[in-house]
Amino acid sequence: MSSGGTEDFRSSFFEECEELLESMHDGFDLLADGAQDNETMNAIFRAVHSIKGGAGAFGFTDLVTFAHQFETALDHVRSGKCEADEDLLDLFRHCGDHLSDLVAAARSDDEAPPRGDELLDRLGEATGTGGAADDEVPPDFEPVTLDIGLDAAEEAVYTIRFAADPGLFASGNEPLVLFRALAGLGRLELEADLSAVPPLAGLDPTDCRMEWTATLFTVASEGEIREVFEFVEGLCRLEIDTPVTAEALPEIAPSEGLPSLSDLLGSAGDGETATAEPASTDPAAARAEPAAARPEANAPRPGGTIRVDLEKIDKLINLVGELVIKEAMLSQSIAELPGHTESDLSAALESLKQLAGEIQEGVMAVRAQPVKPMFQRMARIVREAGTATGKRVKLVTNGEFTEVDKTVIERLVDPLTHMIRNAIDHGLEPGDRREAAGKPREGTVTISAAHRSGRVMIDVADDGGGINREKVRALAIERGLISAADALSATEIDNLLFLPGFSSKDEVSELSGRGVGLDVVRSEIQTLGGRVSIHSEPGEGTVFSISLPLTLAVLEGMVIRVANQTMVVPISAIHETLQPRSAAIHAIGAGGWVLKNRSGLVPVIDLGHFFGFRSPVTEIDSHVLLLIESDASQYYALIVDDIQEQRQVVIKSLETNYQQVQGVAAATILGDGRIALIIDPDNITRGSVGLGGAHSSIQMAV
Amino acid sequence: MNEKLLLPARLDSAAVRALAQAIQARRGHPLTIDAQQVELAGALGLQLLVAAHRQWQEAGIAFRLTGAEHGLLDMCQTLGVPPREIGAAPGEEAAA
Repeated sequence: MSSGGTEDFRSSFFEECEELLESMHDGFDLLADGAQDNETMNAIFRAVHSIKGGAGAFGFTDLVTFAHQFETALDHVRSGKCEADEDLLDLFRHCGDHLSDLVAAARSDDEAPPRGDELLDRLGEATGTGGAADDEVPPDFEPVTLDIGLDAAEEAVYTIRFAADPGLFASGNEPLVLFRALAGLGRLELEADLSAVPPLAGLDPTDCRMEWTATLFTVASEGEIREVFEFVEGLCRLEIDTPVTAEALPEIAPSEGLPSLSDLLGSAGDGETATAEPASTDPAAARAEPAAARPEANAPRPGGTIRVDLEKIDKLINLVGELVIKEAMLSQSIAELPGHTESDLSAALESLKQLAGEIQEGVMAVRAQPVKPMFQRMARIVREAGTATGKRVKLVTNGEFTEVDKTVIERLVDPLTHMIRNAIDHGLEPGDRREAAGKPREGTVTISAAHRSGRVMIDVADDGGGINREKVRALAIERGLISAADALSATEIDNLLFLPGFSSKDEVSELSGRGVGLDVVRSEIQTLGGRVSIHSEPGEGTVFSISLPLTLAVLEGMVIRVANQTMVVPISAIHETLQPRSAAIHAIGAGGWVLKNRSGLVPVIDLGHFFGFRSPVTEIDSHVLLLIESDASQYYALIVDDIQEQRQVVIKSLETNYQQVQGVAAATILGDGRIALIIDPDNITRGSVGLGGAHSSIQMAV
Repeated sequence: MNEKLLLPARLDSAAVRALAQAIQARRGHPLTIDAQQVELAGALGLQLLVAAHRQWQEAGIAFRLTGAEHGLLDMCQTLGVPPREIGAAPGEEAAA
């Protein structure tokens, strides 16, 4: 086995762990909602058990030890030895969090966080499994019951057909190991079908032409059998027949004519198999267990899914992007053909265009993932923040199956974490004050996700006291962010929270006052092409709404021309487009302008001059102004020559292909094959230091 | 000339390609494969031996596999491959 194979196997284990942890947390949520049924407990137990099993294979001792004792405690609840009350459930959640930490530590080869022992002590105390905590970790597999005579009534016979895809071996898996594990569940009769194996000259040595039919006599459930194969899901063909009754058995059992392996091997075969033999030929052994007796074992499995390397998808997305560009180029060349008329050609081209668009959408959808795992991480943040502030907080999630680009999800974790901590620390009032206001003592933080008109909306809401606008205003004046004379609307005051250096709490708290303000949250969301806004009702709470694009690979942009160059401005940054004639433009300083609009005076920047395409324009009337809203709600107007169209452009990174350019976020390829730069609205204000600086002081002074 | 081939300790997916070439190179000659060092034989490893056995059978040339009792037979059993399919069944010679 190559080390690459082991590495694949390892990373596939950690991916499995993520799913298992997710289903464990799901189980906790169900328990919290009052679902005390066996299946929920079983699902949690199975998840922890599978993590333990996999961890054992890789020698992650800390993980195995903790998972084992956690599993023991879960088993006590499952078997009804103790009741899962609210406190115990809370403890289980903490143990679940710690298990996640241990998995993360194992993944990155870090030291495990130290609180495991304390949790295990509490767990032992709560469930009465304290004694078990001193036990050595038992072997990964339950001992196989050989006392067939007594247990025969519970034994079922499964027929399992298995064929391996080439990918199974490439990922470091091996049927030999699977069958050994399967044999650990009961008595296994295995027959390899060699009929498709050609003579050596016609064999591809890495293509497995053998197929197997296994007959398993076991007390294990189908779920447990499938667990054996869970690491090779998607890499093999697996069929498991529901348990057969003894009457049906002879028809599917291997024909008697086949020599038994143990016969061939003489006494070399193990004795246990020999003693088990009579039970299998006795029809009574299998008859007693009808298939319907264990339906709960058929735990819902994720439907037909495969794991795909992210790199492969990104490559595909890139290629589809190229396809869309080529299609646009083709359209343009055909449109420019002399004597061009409506013909089959343009009809065919139109359908090609539609097809390309659909492929692009489809591929983008592949990168999209439900936000659920991220929301589950937030559940932990809520618990920890609640503990740290001494407030009781309940998390409600809505729309957790809303799908968002994987990268967007990953990069949202930090801003969301901060917003949730903020909501609990600053938003929710202390329990006494809540009671006095007639609200339940327990505060509620709600995270919701939804698709709205081609964008993703994520809301973080609390039912706290709302923004204390008087206090925010006073603080902003104190910090020199606004002047005492400024008359600000409620929304404007709320938006002050996003200004750099603003902290509304009197004292910087341990939890959310870590020097990272909401300004960082806002700029992180803006780098994702998103926007964040606040809505607050005094006494009722505050909602932070994040609006995000569905993907980072395509951008909705305004195609403009400036000094004979074509450029793209992200639509999300454009607040308004203006004809300078009708707008109030005032000359200021030597060749500078400011624009007077509803909110005050706004600096005007000549885009052509900024990029060095031309010397500053001397008259402005023949141009067009784009009113841009940048970071921290700073407005400025860009002088451009012409607005061409609004369209989706495929983003091509400049940094990867060339280098970073001031004021430019990325590039795209237009239909005529030329490259157009996509401007970075925030970078332009930062770039025009002399200009922007002077103008912002003017703006402040007015 | 009777060719001899000593199998490596691991007959897994990483080893099969080279081994297939090594066996191919001995085609046309009676072959004795020595399995006494084999510690692990995966599905692809056994498949290769089955295919080799079939190739030699087809050509009517002697093919023997010795030393299987040191571990290879156990793996045949686990994978459900009858030992005679790899030319190792007790008392059974490959067709000559």
